[in-house]
Formats: sequence, structure tokens, C-alpha cells
Amino acid sequence: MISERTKNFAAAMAIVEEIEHAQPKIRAQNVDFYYGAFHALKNISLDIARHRITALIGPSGCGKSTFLRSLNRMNDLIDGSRLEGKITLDGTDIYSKNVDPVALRKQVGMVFQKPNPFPMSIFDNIAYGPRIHGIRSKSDLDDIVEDCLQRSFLWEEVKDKLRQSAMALSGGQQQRLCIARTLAVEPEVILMDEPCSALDPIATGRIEDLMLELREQYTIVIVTHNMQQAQRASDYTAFFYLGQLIEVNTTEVIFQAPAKKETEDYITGRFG
Amino acid sequence: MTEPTQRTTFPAQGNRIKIADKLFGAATFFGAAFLMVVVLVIAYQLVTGSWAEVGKDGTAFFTGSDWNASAEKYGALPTIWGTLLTSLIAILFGGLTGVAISAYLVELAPKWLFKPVSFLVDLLAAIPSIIFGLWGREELVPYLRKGVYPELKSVFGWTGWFGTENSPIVGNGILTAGLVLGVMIIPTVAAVTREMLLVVPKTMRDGSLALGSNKTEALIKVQIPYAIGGILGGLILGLGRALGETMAVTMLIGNNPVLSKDLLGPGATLASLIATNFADATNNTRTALIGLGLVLFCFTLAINVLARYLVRRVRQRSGLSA
Repeated sequence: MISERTKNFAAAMAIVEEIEHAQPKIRAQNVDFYYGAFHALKNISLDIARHRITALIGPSGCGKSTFLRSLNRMNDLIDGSRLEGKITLDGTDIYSKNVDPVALRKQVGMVFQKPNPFPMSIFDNIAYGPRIHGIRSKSDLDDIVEDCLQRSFLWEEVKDKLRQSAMALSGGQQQRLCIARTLAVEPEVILMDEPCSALDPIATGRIEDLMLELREQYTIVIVTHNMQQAQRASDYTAFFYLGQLIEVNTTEVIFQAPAKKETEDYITGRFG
Repeated sequence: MTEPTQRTTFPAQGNRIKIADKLFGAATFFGAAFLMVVVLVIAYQLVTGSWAEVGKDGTAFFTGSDWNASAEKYGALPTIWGTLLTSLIAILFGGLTGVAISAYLVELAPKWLFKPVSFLVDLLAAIPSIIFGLWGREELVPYLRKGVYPELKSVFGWTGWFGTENSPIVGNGILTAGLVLGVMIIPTVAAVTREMLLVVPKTMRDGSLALGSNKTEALIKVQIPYAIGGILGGLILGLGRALGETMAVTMLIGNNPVLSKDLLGPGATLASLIATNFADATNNTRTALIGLGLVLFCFTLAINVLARYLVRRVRQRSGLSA
């Protein structure tokens, strides 16, 4: 009898966990975005799955980067831009009046198209975020720096030159440094805006391995122009075209059996 | 058939261009050479013009703390001290203000403010120094004498830097001259800082903001360090101007070459002492004043060399250039 109840309870807990896990991390509902008079995103509704990698694909100017940058409110910095609709992170409306975009960006980190290490040492680059958020102790910072560099597979390459300028690293190393720097503020979501477009195939492969590793702990959204990359390194793929979300599904379905003709034309390279 | 005729026209044209080319080359060469000759002639004449005094006194000319023309005592130290002190005050006050103005304009201020304020800052550079002197003398000095310096003296007087027991506060002095110099170098510093901050890639700011910093943190910790080489260059340009500025300083500093750390008291700079005394100076005094000119010339030269070195050093250290 007791064992039966325990079993039921365990089963119930598993279901709760599954439901919780099934809740999208980010949910965009009817999002419209304008640069002045230009209507850049048209009625986008998209769920971003928790602890999964979602790839945003589409031709240049289709709105995928705009959508990505609206997830951590980087678009706020652009004069004359305006967003309508609702984007929630774990159920909280990130555009509501009482959400501080500075605090939001600590939760939703971002890696940029071109590696952008700060003009300071490797150590200081990683410690930059933690220091801003109030961590001062040398030993804590030491631990964070080592941990983040380990997790971004950069530690072995740079452990003897932590005090040297980050600008002297190769492009691929710089990008992994930027990812490590993002990890150091312990975000929940990592946004990546074509993180490999400036890198060679070997460096690209390393970033993709890293993404698959990070998926365990983080929700990742990546914008990419590279079809192979989307196929290799994402669980879900969303296809944007002319400011609209044409289709979203598991990456397998999008690339094997897309429902829309535009999607098929794009992934087979007929345009874009 | 057409080919030969074409060939005959080309060399003719080529000759004409060659001559123009040579003329132009010669003109630019002489322009460049002229500049070098001017600098060398000035240096030569400063040395020969002052050698009778500088050579006789030797190092005593530079280290002597007494300048008394009637007793034929020529020590340059009080004026060197006054020059350095006023320039230091100027660079602290004007340098910080200039950098702050530009940092605010480029990143924090609303967009519509950028052009009018930039214009005003550039306009400030066009105001002749005699106007600064007049303004300082007529408006600033009375204000400082009544409103500010007595307070400074009562609070910091004990340090010895702000007034002494038995000296009255006249308003003219080293601090006043330094402050006005500071205002005068604001446009130089602000303009250079503005241009340097504008070329910092926006990805630097965005990278910082994406880590959850606010705009001020991004500015102070990433954007300004990125541009620091150029900003230092601007500060040193400003310092160069402060060292040599004559008219406004002459009107405000009190022109008394004494070696004193009292910033509220009068002093003299190399330039101001030459300006006030040269017209009436005779023989040895004239020679000694040219010696002060030589010192000033070397100072500004050294500052420029130092500037180049510093800018390169800083840029290398942050890894911005090889």
C-alpha cells in the first residue's frame, strides 16, 4: 500500500517535472517591431524551448536578428524603434514597466557576430561581468575565470597567459572567450547572433561542440546563415522571411519535410 | 592605322604632365623643408641668443630660485615652477571637464543635444586668449576673491597651498591663471575625446550592456579605455597649449617670479615673464629672457615627444595595435 503510494507520487513528480520542462523558456506572442516607419517584424508568435537550441534562419533582412535582439531588449538602444505584443521569460513580461533591461540582460546573455573582446586582459574580460555585479574577492574571481574558461574549452590554451591582452587571441579563441565571458554572469538564456560568421571551419566546429555541451544548462537561441550549422547544432529551427515567421518545427522536420514552399526553397538554396 | 597617331600624342602630353609633376613635387618639398629650417633656426637662435647668460650661469640658471633683474640675478626655477603648476591645474580641471563633456555628448546625452553643444565647444576654441584674460580679470577675479578664495583659505589654509597668514587675497594668482587655462584647453580636449569615442566600435558598448552593465559602466570601463590612447593625446595637446599660453596668463597670474607653493598668491610663468619684461629689458636681462624662451621651447618639444611615446605605449598595452 505504502509502496504503491510512493510509486504514484514518484510518477506524479515525474509528470510535474515533464510539464515544467515542457513550458517554453521564452514565449513571444504577436510581436510587431518597427524601426521608425519600417515594419521589421510582423506578428511573430514563437516559443523557445527550455534547455534546447533554437536556430533562427532566413535570408538577410528577414528580421531574425531583430527578433533575437528583442529577447534581451538590445533593440531599446535604437532610436525610434518600437515593439508591440508580448515577450515573456518564464512567464514574466520582459517589456513590462517594472522590468529593468539592465537586470534582464544579466539573465539573457548575448554573443555577437564579430568577436568583441574588451581591450583588457583575458582574465579581466571574464571577470568583467562578475565585477559589475559586485563580486570583488580575488579567489572568487579566480574560480569563476577558471571555471568559465574550462567550460568554453579555452582553459588549456590560455591558462599561462591570463594577464595578456585578449586582443592577441585568434578569432576563434576570441569568440570562445566571449562565450566564457557571457557564462561568467550565469545567464539562463544565451543569444548568439551568427557567432561563427567570422570564423574558419575548425573554430566553427569547436563553437558548435560547445553549444551542444551548454544546452544541458542553458537555453540557447542562435541566428545563423549556415544551413549545415542549423542542422548540426540545433533542436528546433524557425524560418523567417520578410519579417514574418514562416515555419517552426524540430530541426529534423524543417530540413527533411518542410511544410511551406518558401522554407523548402530557402533550405535547398533556391534563394537567399 | 590609328595606332601610330595615338602614340605620337601620348608623349607630348606626358611631357607636360612630367613638368607639372616636378613643379608640384618641388613646391611640396620646399614647403616641408621650410618648416624644418624654421624649427632649426629658432632653436639655434634661442641657444645663441641666450648663451651669454645661460652658459655663464650653467645649471644655476635652471635651478636658481631668485629672479631679480635689477640685481642681475637670473634663476629660472620660479617661472618653471609657475608654468608647471598652472599647466597641471589646467589639465586637471580642463582635462576632466573636456573628457566628461564628450563622454556625455557621445553616449549619454539625448541626440538633439550633440550638434549644438559640439558647436559651442568648437566655438570656445575660436575665442582669442585676450578675451579670456579680460573676462578673467573683470568677472572671475572679483568673484573668486570675494566668494571662493576666502573659503578655500579657511578650510585648506593649514596646508600652506591655499593662502598664507599675512598675505591678502588679491584674486590674481596661480590658481586663477590655472583655472582660466583649464577653460581654454577644454575645446582641444573635448574635440579630440569626442572624435576618439565616436570611432570606438559600437560592439564594445553592446558587449558590455549584454553582460548586464549600465551605460555609464560601459563608458567608463570599456569605451574610454578603448579610446584612451587618443584621449591622452588630446590631453597632451591641451597641456602643450597651457604651457605656452601667454596673454591670458599674463593678465591673471600677478607676474611675480617667486618660488612659493601658495596657489592663491601671485606667480609667473616662462611665457608671462618674457611678455611682461622683454620690451623694457636691456643687455643681460634680455639675454636671460631669451634663455627662458629656450626652456619653454624645450618643454613643449619634450611634451610632444612624451605624448607620442605615451600614446604608443598605452595602445600597445591594451593590445589595440602591434
